[in-house]
Amino acid sequence: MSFYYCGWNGCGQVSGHPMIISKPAKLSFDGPIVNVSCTWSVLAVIAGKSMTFMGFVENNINVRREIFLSNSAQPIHLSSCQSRTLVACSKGNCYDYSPESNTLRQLVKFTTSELDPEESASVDNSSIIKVSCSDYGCLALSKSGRVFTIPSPLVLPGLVVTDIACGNEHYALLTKCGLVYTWGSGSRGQLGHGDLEPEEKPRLVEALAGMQVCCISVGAWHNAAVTSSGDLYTWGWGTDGQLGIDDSVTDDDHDHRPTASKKLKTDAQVSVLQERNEKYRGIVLGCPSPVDTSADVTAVSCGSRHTVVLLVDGTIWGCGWNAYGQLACPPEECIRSIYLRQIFIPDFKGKISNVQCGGWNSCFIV
Amino acid sequence: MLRLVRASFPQPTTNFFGLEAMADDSVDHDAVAERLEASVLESPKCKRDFHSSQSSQFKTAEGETAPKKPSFGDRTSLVLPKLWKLLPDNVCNTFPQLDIVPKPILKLMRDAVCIIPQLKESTSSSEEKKLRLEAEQALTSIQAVLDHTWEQLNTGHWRDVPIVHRHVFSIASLIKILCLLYSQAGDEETLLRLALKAADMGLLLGAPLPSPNECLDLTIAASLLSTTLAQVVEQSGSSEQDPILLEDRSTQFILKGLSGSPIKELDCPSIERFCTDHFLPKLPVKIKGCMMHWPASKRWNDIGYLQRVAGARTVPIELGSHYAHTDYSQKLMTIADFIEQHVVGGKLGYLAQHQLFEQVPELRADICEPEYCCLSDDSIQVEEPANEGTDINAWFGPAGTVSPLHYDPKHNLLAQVVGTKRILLFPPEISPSLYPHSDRLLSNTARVDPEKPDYDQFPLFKNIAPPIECRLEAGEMLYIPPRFWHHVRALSTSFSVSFWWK
Repeated sequence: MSFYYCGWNGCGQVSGHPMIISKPAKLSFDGPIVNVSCTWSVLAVIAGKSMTFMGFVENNINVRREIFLSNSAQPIHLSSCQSRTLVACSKGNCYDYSPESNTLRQLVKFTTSELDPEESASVDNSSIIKVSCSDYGCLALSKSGRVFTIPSPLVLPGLVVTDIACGNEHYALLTKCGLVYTWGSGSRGQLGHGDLEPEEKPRLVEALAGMQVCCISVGAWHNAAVTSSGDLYTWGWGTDGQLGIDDSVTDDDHDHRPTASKKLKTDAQVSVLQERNEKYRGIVLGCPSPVDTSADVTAVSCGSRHTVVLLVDGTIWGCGWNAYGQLACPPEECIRSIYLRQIFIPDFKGKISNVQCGGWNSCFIV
Repeated sequence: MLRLVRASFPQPTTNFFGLEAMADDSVDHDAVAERLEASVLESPKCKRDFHSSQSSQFKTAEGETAPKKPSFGDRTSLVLPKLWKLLPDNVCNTFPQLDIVPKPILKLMRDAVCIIPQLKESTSSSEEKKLRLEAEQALTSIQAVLDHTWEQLNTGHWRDVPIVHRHVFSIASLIKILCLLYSQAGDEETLLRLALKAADMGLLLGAPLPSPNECLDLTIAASLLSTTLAQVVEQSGSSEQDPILLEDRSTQFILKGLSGSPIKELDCPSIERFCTDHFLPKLPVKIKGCMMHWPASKRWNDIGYLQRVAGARTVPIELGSHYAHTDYSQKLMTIADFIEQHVVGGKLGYLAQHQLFEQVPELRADICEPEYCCLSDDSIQVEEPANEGTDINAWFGPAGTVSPLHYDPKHNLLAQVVGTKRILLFPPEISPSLYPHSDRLLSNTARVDPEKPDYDQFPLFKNIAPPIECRLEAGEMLYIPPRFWHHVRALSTSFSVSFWWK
């Protein structure tokens, strides 16, 4: 099975390719691709029953290591940050792998001491199915929908959580009912509560409460959510246009759309575009706001400063930073895009089933 | 508000871009993004531009095309050994402070550094060609290190960011300068400009590691680059021009709103007199006749001079009505662009409260710290001026720039070098009548606008005694005591220097 990879490759994540991969490179593995996670220095992949780390491993670049968990446990989910990778395995426990030192250790059972006895009894803390990792804090999600700020449990009475995500300094979770909660630092609008205040505990993102959200993703300082009706919402800090912009705020006739981009632009139009570019780069959206897409969105994934969406018609679109080819186009062609532009994978005719971004990279899973 | 934060701490670069300081306006992010662009545009994209320009021809200043072979300019080869000396041997392994830097970052930095000495010693041209390519790779690596570190610098509040990230930014900036110049991936002038910008970014965002023999000092690197660039530009043909006077560009502003009683004036008072009559009782005074010996008095109203000495330097510019207004934002630009668009162009923009003189020592040489700054609250003894204790800031912009009514915690001598400013002064006792902002960061800023007072909203302001009014002309200094409220408006193109001390 395979996936396509583009973006920063300076630590030799994919050997034999240049430092900047702007034409997606195909990576093949034995067995289906279960999960992919990228950081600045490592690409981590679970394919079938095996786990592979590529890039800066054991103090050198261009290294590829296959890692096996003890007791024939199978990895089912992983998440990487600069210093570590957390792995959830089929037996329900959690491992911490350090690529720098190439060491793997099992995390001890998470504590339940902060819960009252009744709650504590109901916690199946040994059954972790999902992990999310940043250099500032890590989250784990249990089978029954409990969240841990590793190692302590988060007390969320009555909430069953289905997904978790870490930004550089904020966190988001999605509940079974389709509600989004965020907490952490809000100084760059990350939390979506309409202000720039920090939150110590998960707080409901009210602007999205009327809709059923089915997918969330978090970048360094921005967030994206997809509703069950296929609408895309973004909020946070748009350093490089990673929030995308809604059509309603543009003023010319869809000229910025890639479908129309072949049309020659007059100088005046170019200058309007530049001005708009200037305006929307670096914008902070303190509340989730809708982004127009040409078809319903089925999946979204955020890298550090870019966003990629997969639409129901099978097309892939991305916005934000592209200095390292993370939008699968050469940086000299487009260093950043404030609107969603279509991503093409050369020589590929099949269907992409999922997108997974991280750091300055994008992965398109076949 | 930035000013308070900057004024209150000995390290005024702390909270430089004040992300959270200006958080409720959420507008200063343009500035941050601008920083980003600055770093990004230079990397992969520009490199490509260089390739294309190398293979074709270069435009000269006059717009004609002239063939030019891509080799070291004489000037660059003279300055390179001096720059190289600034980078200590084994820089990534020498400093224990760097032990906590993620290993892949150090690895990429180290690899980039290793390329440079090979370039220095390469002899054969085929080998050199290969090495140039490697230098360009090194440039991409080091840019990625800078971009990655930029993300760390923007995570959490600026003052809480671990200093090590700023150390890395500083060192990586120096490596980038060397990689740029050695790569020869462009014409001499372009490379020098990019290198100088890298130095300024390093100065603005980084922090130097304490290091012997002036190693790692980006101020020196920037001065070397700036001087070299000036020579290259001069060589390329722009002939000596008549001075373009800043004051010619001014438009006079008609004062409205409140006016006050005239300020007391002294002609070059003795330190003792200044101390007893003004410093100790904390009373404002205008001091005349004390700046005649400043080289700046003659030089700074010549745009050409400022362009030559500092035109290519990158500085933060405040955009918008003033810092407490919702339209406020910050942007990084070169002084040349700032002069063209704002000072001459007349678009509102303010080089405000920037430690320009630490960044550009050439301009520091044009000013003299007034002897009055040696007075101290702790003792009335007259000592030698202690440079350490005085924060020197530049304030440069077109007519119409405003600092809203605020106070600073330190003694302040505002020296007017070019143009005219109007200052309204209110004593600390009437603070409640000025309705300071409740926000901690803006608590030294009044909500009342003395130029357009809203008496319905701020009724107490109606009953105060008239303020002291000062029209500060070039060559005059204004003493503003600590916590004395002041509102400042530039009536013409204006360049002032403030001295803050305790």
